Amino acid sequence: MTATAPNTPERLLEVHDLKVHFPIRIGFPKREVSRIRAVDGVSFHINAGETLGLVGESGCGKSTTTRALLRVTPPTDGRIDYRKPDGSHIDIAKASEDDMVPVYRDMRAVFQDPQASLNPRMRVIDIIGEVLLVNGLASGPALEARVGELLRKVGLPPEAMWRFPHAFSGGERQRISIARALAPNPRFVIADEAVSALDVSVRAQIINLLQDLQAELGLTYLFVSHDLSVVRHICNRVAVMYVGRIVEIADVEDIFAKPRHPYTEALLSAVPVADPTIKGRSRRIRLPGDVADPGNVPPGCAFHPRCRFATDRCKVETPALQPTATPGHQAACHYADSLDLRGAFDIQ
Amino acid sequence: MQSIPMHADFSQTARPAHDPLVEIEGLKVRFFTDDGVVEALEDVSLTVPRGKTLCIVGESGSGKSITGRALLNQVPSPGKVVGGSIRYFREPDAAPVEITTLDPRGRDMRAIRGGEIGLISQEPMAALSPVHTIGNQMREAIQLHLKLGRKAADAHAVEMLAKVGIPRPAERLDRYSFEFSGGMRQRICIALALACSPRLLIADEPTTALDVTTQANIIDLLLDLQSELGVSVMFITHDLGVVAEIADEIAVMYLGRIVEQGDSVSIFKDPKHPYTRALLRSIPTFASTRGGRLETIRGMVPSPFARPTGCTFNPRCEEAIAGVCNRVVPWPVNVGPGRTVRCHLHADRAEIDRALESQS
Repeated sequence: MTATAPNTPERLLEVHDLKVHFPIRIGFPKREVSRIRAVDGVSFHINAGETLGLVGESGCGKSTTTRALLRVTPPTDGRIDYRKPDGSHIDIAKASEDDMVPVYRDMRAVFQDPQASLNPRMRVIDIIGEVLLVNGLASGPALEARVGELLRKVGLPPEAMWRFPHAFSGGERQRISIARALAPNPRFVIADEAVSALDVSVRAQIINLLQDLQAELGLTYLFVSHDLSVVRHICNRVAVMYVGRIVEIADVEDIFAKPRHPYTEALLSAVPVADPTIKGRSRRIRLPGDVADPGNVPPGCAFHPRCRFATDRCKVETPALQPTATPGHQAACHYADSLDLRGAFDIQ
Repeated sequence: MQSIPMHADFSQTARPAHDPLVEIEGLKVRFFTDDGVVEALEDVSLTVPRGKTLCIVGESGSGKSITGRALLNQVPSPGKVVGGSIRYFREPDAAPVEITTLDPRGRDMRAIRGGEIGLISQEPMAALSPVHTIGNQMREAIQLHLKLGRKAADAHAVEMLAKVGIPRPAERLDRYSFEFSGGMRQRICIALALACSPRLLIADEPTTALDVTTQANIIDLLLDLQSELGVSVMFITHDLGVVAEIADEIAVMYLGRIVEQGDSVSIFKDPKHPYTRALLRSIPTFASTRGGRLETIRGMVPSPFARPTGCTFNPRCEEAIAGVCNRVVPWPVNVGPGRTVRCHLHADRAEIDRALESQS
């Protein structure tokens, strides 16, 4: 952990050693035979008003982390310290459901799959309006006006409120779920791949909208994405996850200019560049194999079977997330300070 | 292992300059919905060059997927092809097959679809059956199109799975789609689409749902397979980064029309249509300034029922000429070798005036 300096900005959220394990139970009576370590000892914090990016491949635990923050999936272990609007603190990991109700108004989420997160039998006005209604924020004509305003904000015509989700394209549906998240004027928004499904021109509008809202209302974002160009654009700091752990966390410019973990380097090199004269194949670092199975994590550093720098030490000793030579830059690699890795700008 | 003859070895023979595999001309597709008629495709003309990759770029509702579906003669109901032609040149010199006139359920079309034209869709989970094994699904296609026995079909399926980089392919034949990761599933879809040695592969947003590292692997795989098999690819996407990696030719679509087409390098270097220019400016890149505002295209894609008159892009266009762009539908203008753009900014003024006169 970084030392808390006196002038550190106020922390909205602090996560300590978060673990989310899914036990696999077989037989009668059921016995636990193994466990999926989806999130296995994750610690980070988010300052009020900042945007923290969370990147990594599917299966790395980034969505499970967000689900644990929302208590959709109960954490196995660890502490999630959330500062409520009144200044008091709550440990989300152990809070009761009643205690969570005000938190849910303050901490909103936009999920990955709008197909699954919108009820196909509800009209858009009910999908968004329900949030306002149950929280007593609006009703009747005011509710209709507010839903129309929210829809306009996300780039949909207000008439869209009378239609059902199936009438919209995937991108439009995702906009509806963004509108729903923004409905009760939250302080903290978890955007889990929120812009990944949007069209290019619309994505730019939504990114601008998210930034405008942040400036206007002082919103804090946890921005989960696999699109590193967008992450670089919108985030202040970035955490890179690999098989349930954070392998690198740093200010966005640091991590893009000089990554300290070989996995981050490979991720950066895989981003396609919109310039046909730079064909990516030569610059790309190919990672052999797939992301490790979180039910059967390789010993030592989980990344070692795919790492081109792996040594015998990496096969046995799990590296901890430690500060590197750059202040505020932490990496979980034995050789973080000695490797000379290529940043996003060298690759181009 | 029995090797399967390719329909033709295109990679070896020298190609003439103009050697289309598919020529689409003036294609019109309408959707007759209860709420009115939607002009999904309006006068779409494009050529898929043999052995090359054509990228169709566009946002949702631009008609890019419908173009792909029309090629398979599978425009979903209530859509109908109401005009134009799709000529499929099976052999370079032979008479083309007119796809629009074939019975969608007829023997000829079914032989082409899945056999000579393969499809990879965005959602491998939706494309693969969850209740049949991978081997079962591959065997069905291979036996149907290549007329192989069960054993030979299995051997061919294993060979294809190995080709797309599935480890231990023989064991995997008995597995179900849900037992694979997203990237592996997409590889299986590619193996399935290429199993019958198609001449054309329609890839409809095949990497959109994947991680960047997986996406990079799938793009490399498609490029490798293309140079190995000489298959033509119609790649449908909205991701301009991917387009730059894979395209030889590009067609940019907006609201059912192709607004610009040409070769990839010159379109990225010197986009002519205001829409293409705006699209290219609206993507954040590693080179762009961080945190600033991204350039956007004002407004939103209009409702298909309320299509703007004249150029469909005119209400969102920064350079629209009042009294012209909102009245006259632009026609394709030649702006260089193999490059056309549908925009009045590049058209001959006298011709525009004539069009305006004939309207009033």
